[in-house]
Amino acid sequence: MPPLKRILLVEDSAQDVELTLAALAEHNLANEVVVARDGAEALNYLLRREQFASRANGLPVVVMLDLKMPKVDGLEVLREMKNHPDLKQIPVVMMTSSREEQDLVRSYSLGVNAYVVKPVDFQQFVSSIKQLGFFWAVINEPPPACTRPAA
Amino acid sequence: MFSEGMASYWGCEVKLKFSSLITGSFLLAIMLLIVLGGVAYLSITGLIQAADAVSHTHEVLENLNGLLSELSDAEVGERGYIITGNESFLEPYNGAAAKVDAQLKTLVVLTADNPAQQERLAKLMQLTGKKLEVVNKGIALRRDNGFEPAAAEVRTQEGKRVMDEVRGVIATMVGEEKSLLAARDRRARTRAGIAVPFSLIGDIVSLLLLAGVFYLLKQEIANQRRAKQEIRALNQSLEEHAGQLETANKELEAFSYSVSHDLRAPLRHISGFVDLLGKHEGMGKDEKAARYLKFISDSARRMGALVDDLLAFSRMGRTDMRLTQVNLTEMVVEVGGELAGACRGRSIEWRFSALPVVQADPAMLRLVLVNLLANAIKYTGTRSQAKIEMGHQPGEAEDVIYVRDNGVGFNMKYIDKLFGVFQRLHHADEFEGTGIGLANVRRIIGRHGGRTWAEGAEGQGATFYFSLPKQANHKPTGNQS
Repeated sequence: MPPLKRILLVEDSAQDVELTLAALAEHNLANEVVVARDGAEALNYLLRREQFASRANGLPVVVMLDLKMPKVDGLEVLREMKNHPDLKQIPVVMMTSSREEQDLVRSYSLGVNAYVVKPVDFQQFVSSIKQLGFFWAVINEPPPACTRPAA
Repeated sequence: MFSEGMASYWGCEVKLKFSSLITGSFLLAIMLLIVLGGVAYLSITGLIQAADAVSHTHEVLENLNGLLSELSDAEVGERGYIITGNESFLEPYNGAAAKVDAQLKTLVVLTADNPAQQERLAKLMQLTGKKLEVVNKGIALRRDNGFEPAAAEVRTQEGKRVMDEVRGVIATMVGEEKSLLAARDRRARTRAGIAVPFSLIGDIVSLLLLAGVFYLLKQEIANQRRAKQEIRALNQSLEEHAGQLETANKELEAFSYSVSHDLRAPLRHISGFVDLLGKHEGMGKDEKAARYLKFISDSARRMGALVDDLLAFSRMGRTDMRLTQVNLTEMVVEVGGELAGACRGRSIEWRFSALPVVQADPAMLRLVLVNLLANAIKYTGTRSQAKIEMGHQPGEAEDVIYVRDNGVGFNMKYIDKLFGVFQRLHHADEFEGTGIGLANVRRIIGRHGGRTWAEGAEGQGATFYFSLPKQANHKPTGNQS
């Protein structure tokens, strides 16, 4: 049996975390979801630093990254990841509340893999999350680094 | 001379008068100076002529006196010789004839312009000839016949008589020359006497005129300098305003950015948790609770739509325009295809006349067509047979496009509200919509340098017009309501 594909959800809003998890649960995506509450935590998790220094090895198959966050925002996390030799292969989906041209341009120029505007309507939101989860965690073949079994 | 208020009140008329005043004064001063120059020239040449005449007269007088003294010398020589028989007395006589002849020739030239003097001169020539003959005769008698016959000849007083005649003619000629001189001198003096005060007055008048012109020009230069300063001040304040406007625009942009993020997130949460609440055990069974949850959910969704529309509207005023040639007919066909869903189950009679190729931003113009056609479809929803017509009124400077329908129309009383943001003339449960569509149409057409207007009557359909300038000389504007 292949190892479970892990999703890293980076989201500062507790409500959004809960809604995203509920949406994922609604579609019985059995993947493991790791939640980081801001950009700094996300980078610590990915690089196994500080509170994640002792976590098990392995990288997520996709990072769902909220754009607007306190401390280190989504764009900075994206820049760090794409500049890091070990992290630059991980697909990143930018999740944001609105479609702002400048954010779109900056995200794509930093090498984002997808850019999703979270719909206000919950049913549409659920549908978006379902499609995202299904595509990135099930259909998409992740880079080899993400499927290496835990040491 | 001109008070400022008057100048600005009368405007261009005063300006015209002012400039012709300056020109007139200049011309007058120049003409005066030319006349003065002429007068001065004439009086100076008159004085020169008078001076010439004086020296001419003196020359004539000198020659006449010379002639007389030569003749007298010759006579004295003759008499001395007759008395003494000594040849040395004849010294003044020798050469007198040649000298007299030369002086007579000079006099002929000098009096060439005066016939009366010429006449006298002819007489004088005759007399001098005669006198010299008499002298010659006396000398010859003494030399050939001795003292007595020569003395007898002198005693006849023929020589004295001729000499007296000569003196008389010369005196007349001298008198004539002197009176001529006096007349010329008088004339020259009279002319100079007129010219001097005339020059003085003319000089003073032209000086005054030039001083006046100088004053007027100085005034005008001061006025222009003041106007320039005013323009500079206005430009400066305009720049300041532009700067403030730019700041305001940036603030607005930052504001709409945070609105788009911060307002949508809580709406999404409301919508999400209401949905989850509805699915929560026990809640779904209470009919009233379910209805309330639906209201909350609908309201959140509607507010989401309003926020989205408002942001799209604000973005429409900020994004850069890319103008190209757009074939409106092709674009309408495309848009019609997109709106096919809204026409399902409806009986709509479409009528399109040929539409022009225009200069526009395709994405923006497309939104205009979508809004106008979708409105026409929406507001004819209550008609069993809808009629939607689209056409073109070609003009010289602009193309006018219109969309006409036989829908519910509107009351012209509310025409001002028609194109406003979030302004609606119908209830949301009558016709759906946020009220941003026509505001977008107006903003887009405005940025293209065109106009938007509408005609309609309640229950009798509506016609929406927009115009696009034919020349792409309009500059894309940033903000337009």
